[in-house]
Amino acid sequence: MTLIDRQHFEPEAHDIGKLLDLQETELGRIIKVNNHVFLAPDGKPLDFRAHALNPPAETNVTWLAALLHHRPRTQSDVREKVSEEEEEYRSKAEECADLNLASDIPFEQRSTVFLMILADHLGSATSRTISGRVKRQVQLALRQKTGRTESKALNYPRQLQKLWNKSKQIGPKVSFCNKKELQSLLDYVTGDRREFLTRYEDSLKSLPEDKFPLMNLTSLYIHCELVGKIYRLMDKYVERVPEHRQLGLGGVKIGTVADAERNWPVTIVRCEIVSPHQPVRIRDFNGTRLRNEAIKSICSDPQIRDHILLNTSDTLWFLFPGNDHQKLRMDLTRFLKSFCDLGFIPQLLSFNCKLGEVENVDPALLLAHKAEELNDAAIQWQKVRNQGDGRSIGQARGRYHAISSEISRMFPAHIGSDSSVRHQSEIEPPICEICQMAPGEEQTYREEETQVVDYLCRSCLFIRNSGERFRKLAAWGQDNVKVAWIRVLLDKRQMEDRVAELYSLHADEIFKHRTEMADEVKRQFRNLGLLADFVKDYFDFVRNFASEVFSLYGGTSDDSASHRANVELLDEEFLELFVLRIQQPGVVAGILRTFVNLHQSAESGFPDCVGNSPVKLRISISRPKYPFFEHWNFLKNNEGFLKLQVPGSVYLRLDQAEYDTLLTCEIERSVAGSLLHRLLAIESRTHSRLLVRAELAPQPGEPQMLKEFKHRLLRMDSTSALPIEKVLSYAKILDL
Amino acid sequence: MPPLDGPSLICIGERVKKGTYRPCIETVPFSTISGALRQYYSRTDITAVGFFVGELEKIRVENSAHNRATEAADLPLTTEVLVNPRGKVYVLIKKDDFHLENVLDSQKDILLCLGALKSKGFGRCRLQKVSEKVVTDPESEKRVGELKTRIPEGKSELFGIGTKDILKPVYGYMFQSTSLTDGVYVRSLFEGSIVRGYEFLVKGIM
Repeated sequence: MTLIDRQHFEPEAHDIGKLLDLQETELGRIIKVNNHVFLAPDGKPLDFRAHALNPPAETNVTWLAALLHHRPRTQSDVREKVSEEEEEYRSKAEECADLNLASDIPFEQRSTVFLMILADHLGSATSRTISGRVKRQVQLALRQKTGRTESKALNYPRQLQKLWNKSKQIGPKVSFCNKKELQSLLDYVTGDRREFLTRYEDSLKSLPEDKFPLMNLTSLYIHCELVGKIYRLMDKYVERVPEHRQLGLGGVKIGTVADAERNWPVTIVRCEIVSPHQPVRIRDFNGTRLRNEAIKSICSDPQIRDHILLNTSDTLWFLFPGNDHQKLRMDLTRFLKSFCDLGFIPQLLSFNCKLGEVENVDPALLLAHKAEELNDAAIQWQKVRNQGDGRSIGQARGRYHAISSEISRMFPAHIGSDSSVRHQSEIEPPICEICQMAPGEEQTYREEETQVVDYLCRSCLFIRNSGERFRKLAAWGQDNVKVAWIRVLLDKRQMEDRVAELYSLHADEIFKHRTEMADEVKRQFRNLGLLADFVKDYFDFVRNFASEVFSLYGGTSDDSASHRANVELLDEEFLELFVLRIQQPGVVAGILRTFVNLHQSAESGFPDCVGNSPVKLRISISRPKYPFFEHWNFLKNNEGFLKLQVPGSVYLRLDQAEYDTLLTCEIERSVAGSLLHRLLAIESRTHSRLLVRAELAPQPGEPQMLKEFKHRLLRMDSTSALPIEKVLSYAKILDL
Repeated sequence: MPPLDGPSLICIGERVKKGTYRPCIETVPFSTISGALRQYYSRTDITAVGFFVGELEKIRVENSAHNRATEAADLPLTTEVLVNPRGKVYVLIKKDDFHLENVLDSQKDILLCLGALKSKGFGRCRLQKVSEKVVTDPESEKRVGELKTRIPEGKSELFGIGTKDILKPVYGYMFQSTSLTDGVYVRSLFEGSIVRGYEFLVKGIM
C-alpha cells in the first residue's frame, strides 16, 4: 500500500455497516440481519451490482476494512456453535486475520486490515471479550425473562443503554434503511473526505457499539474514535515483514491475530497532572486554566493525540504499543514537557501486558493487587525462613523479588525532574510559599492596602501573572453582596469503582439464576469504553448545569456566559468552577435543586448513580474579599455528594437521601429559625431524640404554620434520623 | 498524647500564606519530632518519625502579634491547629553507630513541645514509651504502601527505605537547621509516596 493509500484510510469508518437499519426495511431484505459486514441473507458476500448499488473499489482500504474486519462464523467454529442458518462465508476475512494463509490481497492491505482487527478488539468495551458460550446464555436468560419467542428475544433490547442512566431512551437515529441511503454511505467511502466521526456524529452517538444485550453499553462513536486512535498507533509502531508474511512489535513477530493478542506487548500509562501549588490568591488559579490549555493542546497534537485513550481535566490515560522503556520515557518526557514547564508534576503509573489481556485500563487497581501479592510473598518468605528449609527459602525470595521488580517497573522514572529547578536536593531560604518546591523571590503587592509580601518561585509567579485579573469579583468587593463559589467535580477513583459496580449489577440482573455465568461476565469486564463515555457525559452534564445556573441567576447578557453580570468565570472553557454573585434570596437553594434535578434527570444526568455518585457539588459562600485559599480548601475536597459552607456559620454535607428528606420538610425560614435552634440545643445537650420529639408536640395557641412545620419534622424524624444540625444549616442557606 | 494538665493544641509545618494564614499538616515529620526530642535530651543524634492516628479535630486560632519596631499591631495571623491529637512516634535506638538504649529506657512520660508557636503555649504533648521493636529480617518485614510520615531523603535509609525502595516519590522540602540561626530546605519524601518500607510506616494502597 502506498503512502497515499494509508493517508486515505479511515479506520473510524470500519463499522460503517452498523449505521444501517436492517429491521424490516428495504435493506433488511437484501442484507443479513445482525451483521455489519455486508453479507447477504444467505451469509455470503452481498452482490452490490445485482442490487444496482455501486460499491467502492476493491483497492479502497477503508472499504476492505469495513468488509473484512470480522472473521466469518462457520459451523466448524467450535467455540461459537453456529447453526446452519447463521453460517457466514467470507474467506478473505479469514485471510486478513491469518497472514500465513495464501491470498490474492496485497500484503500491505492485508496487514492493514489485520491491525484494524486488533484495534477493533482492543477498542471494544466488552463485546469482544465475551465468548460465544456466554452470548448463548444471555439469549437463554433473556428468553426466560421476557417469555418471548426465540427470534424476538434475540432482538431484545437493541438500543444503546447507559449503565448510569438506564432510563434514558437513546436513539437509534438511523436513516440508512433503503438502497439510496446505502449508496450515499458507499459514496462517502469512495470519496476523499475523511470526516466519518463528524459527518455521522448524531447517528454514531445514538447507536451502541454492539447491539447484543449486555454489550450495548457504549456508543458506537466512542468505539470508532478509540479504534481509530489504536489503529494509527499500531500502524506507527508495528514493523511489516512482507517477505515472511509477518508483523512485528517489540521484537515479537507473528502471523495471526490470535498470536498477536497472546504475544504482543502494550503499555498503559495513567498520568495524573498534580499541582504542587496551594493557591493563595485567586489569580494563582490561573494554573488550572493553563493546565486545561496544555491538556487541550496535547489532545489535539497529531503526534500525541492517538496515544491518549481518554482524559479528564487532570488525568490522561496513554497507550503505547510495545514495551521499550527507554522510548516510553523519551515519549512521555516530550508529551508532558508543557506541564513540567508550568511546574506541574505528572504522576505516572504504568503497566505492561499482552494485547489480549488488557482487561482494565486502571493500573492503580493492578498496583493494589500487586502490592497485596508482594505482602503475601513477604509473609511466606518469613514463614519458610523460620522453618529453615533452604530450597523453599530460595523460591520464596525469588517470588518476592520478582513481584517487587514488577511493581518497580510500574513507575516510570520521574518525568521532568532532571533539568527542572524543582526537586533540587537543597534550597536556600526563602522557599516559594505556593508550591514549596523551588526557591522563592520577594514579591510585594503595593496595590493592596496591607502591602503584603509573598515569596514566590518563577513558575508560580508566571502562573499568577498570566491571564486577566478578575475584575468583576474585585468590583463586587466594593458592594455589600455575597458570592458563591460553585464547583462541580468528578471523583475519578469513585467513577471507576462505580462503573464496575454498575456493570456487575447489570450482569446480575441478566443472569439472575446463573451466578457462575454472571461471574464469568464480570471477570471479562473492560472499562475503557465505558469510562470514556462516562467522562463525555460528565462534561455534557457540567455544561448543562452551568448554562442552567447562568440562565436562572447569571443576570442579563449580550452573548457569552462571561458577559453575564453575576458570573465570574475563571476560564471560559472551564465550567467546573465559577463564581456567582448572589442578588436575591433563594439562589443557593435553587442551585442545589438545579444540580440534584439535573443529576437525576433521564435526559443528561446519572440517575443510576444516585446514592454513590462520583459527580459532586461544592458551594462556598462568603463576601467577595474572603480569602480564596479558604474557599479552595473546601472546594477541592472529594468526599460527600453535596457540600456547602458559609465560613463561620454553616457547614453542610448531604447525600441524596438527606437532601430529599430536607425537601419534604418544606422549611420556612421565618417559621423554622427559633424552633430549630431550640431543638439543636436539646439534641446537643441531651443526645436524646426522644426529647426532641417531645419538643415537637403541638402546643395550644401556636400559629398554624408552626404546627404544620412541627408535624412535618415529626414525620421526618420517624422516617429518617437526620441530625437537627443539618436541618438548621439548610434552613440558614434558604436566605442566601 | 495531650499533657495530663490540659488540652494540647498543635500546629506543625506549612509556611504562612498571604501573610495572614498558617495551615497545619496532618502528620508528624522527621524534623519536628527529631527536633523536639533532641531539644529534650540535649543531644543531636536522635532521629525519629511519627504520624497521627484516629480522627483529627482542627480549629483555627487568631493571633494578633505586636510589632515592637513600629509600635503597631501586625496583621492578625490565623493558625490552624490540631486539638488533642494522638499519634505514634518511632525513635531509632540502635543501628550501626547509633546506641541510644540507655537514653531512652525511661518508662516515665516525656513532656515535649512540638511544632510552631510554642511561645504562645502551643505544641504541648506527652510521649509515652510503649515498646521496643527489633527488626531482625528487614527485607521480609517491609511492605509496599503509602508512606505515613515525612522523612528527608538522606535520612530515609535509617528507617529502612533505601533508594531502591522508593517506588513513587512525592517530594517536598523540610527545613533543616545548619546553625542556631540558619538552615536549608532539604528534599524529602512526603506522605503519600509509594515506598517499600517497614509495616509501621506505610499504609495499604487504595
